[in-house]
Amino acid sequence: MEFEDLKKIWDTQNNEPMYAINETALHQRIHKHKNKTKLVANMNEIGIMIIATVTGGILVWDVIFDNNSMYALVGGLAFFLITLFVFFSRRNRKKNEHRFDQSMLGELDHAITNAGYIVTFARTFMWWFLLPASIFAYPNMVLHDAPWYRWVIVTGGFILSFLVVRWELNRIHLPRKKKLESLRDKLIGDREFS
Amino acid sequence: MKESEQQHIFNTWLSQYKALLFKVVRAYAFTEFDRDDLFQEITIQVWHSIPKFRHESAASTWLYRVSLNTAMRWSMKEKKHSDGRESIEGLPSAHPLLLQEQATHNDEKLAWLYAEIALLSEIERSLTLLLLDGFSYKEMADMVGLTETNIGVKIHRIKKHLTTQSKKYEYHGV
Repeated sequence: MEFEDLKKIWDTQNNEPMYAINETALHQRIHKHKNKTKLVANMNEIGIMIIATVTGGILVWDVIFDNNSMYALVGGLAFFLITLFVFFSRRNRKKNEHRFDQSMLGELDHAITNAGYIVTFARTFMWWFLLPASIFAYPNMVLHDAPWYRWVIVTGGFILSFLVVRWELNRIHLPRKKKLESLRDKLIGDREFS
Repeated sequence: MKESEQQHIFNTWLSQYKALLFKVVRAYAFTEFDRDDLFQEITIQVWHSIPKFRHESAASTWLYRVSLNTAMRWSMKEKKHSDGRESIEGLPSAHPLLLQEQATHNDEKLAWLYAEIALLSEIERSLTLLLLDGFSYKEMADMVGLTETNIGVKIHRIKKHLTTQSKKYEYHGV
């Protein structure tokens, strides 16, 4: 067959749709997805900003009205800095969303940039969230002569957070970014038929 | 954009261009459940794309771009399902299926063509669909984001491959 014959075969499906759509089910699913998307959109960034602001607020409140611990003040300010950092990173990310063209390659580049952002965000979290938290927690435990189990719980919490974020980074975010990059390579590349 | 306006455009596109969406679904998903999943994913992406549609291209071009992009990424994400889901084909789903195959649509040559397309890579499949639907190199280049020359090279190979395979198909007297 010549290519024109293949095209004729292809065009036969234009006269008669292959499938019937269950429109009620489709609209239900889209509606459900829309609500879910609104709920989980940007959860990481907003979640971190809320946690950091509240924690920072509690620490600074404690310094002002309860004790004069310098560690609490430094810890509190560090948490506010985290909020500012996440806020500006988020604003920067949103601003750059429109710089990609609307081709398939442009969308892939956009997806790769977003995946890269999540990777950087997770890596940053491991140090810039856990570090100020520990700056406050450990000296405070020393000052208040904390019992051994508190040391275990706090240290366990830090280690667990670190491991969970690292696991998420290595098992989900990095492979996803690599897959997108490989798809981009395929799109640009000149592969011969095997 | 008001949600009612978005809904109106979505319904219009779905009714006018459903054949286009079905082609993409059939080229990238090979079981009933996968087709359902991909169709849902494509329609969701189409819905989200409506406010971004700037009328710089035809709606069909826009829909092809959105649906092919979604299909390629879905295919990459769902590769593991291409084996596993075969075994559960036919089991009742927890949700009603979105797509029901029309019993009258049973063209052997078309099925062969889809089977050949399925053997191509994700990118080649996209270009083949666009080629068979009569898009020009320029339109394809704009849609994919590559140069016309690059598209030309790929299309030349795809055409050669498909015509060679079609000769084998005819030779075996099917």
